[in-house]
Amino acid sequence: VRLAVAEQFDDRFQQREAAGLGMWTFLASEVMIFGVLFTGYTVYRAGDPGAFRQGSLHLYESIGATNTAILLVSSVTMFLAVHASGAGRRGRTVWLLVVSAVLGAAFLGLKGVEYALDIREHLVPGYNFTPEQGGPHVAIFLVFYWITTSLHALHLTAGVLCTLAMAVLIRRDGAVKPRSNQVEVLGLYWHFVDIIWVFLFPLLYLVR
Amino acid sequence: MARHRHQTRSAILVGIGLLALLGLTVLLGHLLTGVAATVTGLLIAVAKAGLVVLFFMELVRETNQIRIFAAASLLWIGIIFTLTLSDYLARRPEARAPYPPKPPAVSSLPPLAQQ
Repeated sequence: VRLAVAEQFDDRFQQREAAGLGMWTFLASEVMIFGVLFTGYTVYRAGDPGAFRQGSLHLYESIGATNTAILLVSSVTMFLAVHASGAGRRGRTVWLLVVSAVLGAAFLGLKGVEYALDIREHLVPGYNFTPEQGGPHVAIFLVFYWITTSLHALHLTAGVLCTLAMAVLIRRDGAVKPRSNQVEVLGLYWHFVDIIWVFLFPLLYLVR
Repeated sequence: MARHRHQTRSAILVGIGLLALLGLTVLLGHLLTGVAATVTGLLIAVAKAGLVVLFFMELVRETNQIRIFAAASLLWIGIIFTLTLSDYLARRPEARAPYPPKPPAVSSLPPLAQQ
């Protein structure tokens, strides 16, 4: 399989490194976005640990743990998709990308079910939160819960759409060459979104 | 092809390791409380993230330039955390909370006419 090299690059090694560096730079800026949310979380939790524990007990730990497992498995399939693409195996790349996207969509579906349960249990500050669920500091924990998980879900939605688009483009002849570094760069983003959830899970669901 | 099969097997092994760590974190979350629970939860999260970064994102195989870019994000978030927490955690315990103080009882306010 011949790899297309864009005209601004000398060879495919330079192209691959430039693409990787671009994605790592973007991910570093994403670390800043989620990092300040984690900083704010830490400050407010240190101010009232009891309220954060009380808030955490409202959440569905089983759904959170299942979703973590789904994302971890999706990282395995995405890694295999990247390597199938590197080996020039078009069919295998496409179905592994589709499996990863389906796992990501399963996460989002389960998250939607969880959100519906949260809303029914009056856990939305500013909308239906009542003193029965806890004091104002419990509400602050829940604000962190909604902001961080919805921002993460937004990232995962983008990941699922890009993964499906990539699968379509690879399947369609000539749109994306199997050995190109585009799948690799997509994989980096996918794993990053997985890592964010790995930190969110204990910080939101396992406050004891 | 042999290399390919080898990669598939190690990816599945890393995946099983990650799921085992998830099981461990849930189990310990039920056994431990307080600071111990938080610290172990975060340590396991760091271990999981490390496996993903080094193995799935293949940072070990990348150039030094990319490694520096990846490490820079941790450096900057470290600065944000250190400066912020060196303020809040150094305050007197009663002033430590970022929450607004409780409003005084209405009766303790001076009459409106004197303000």
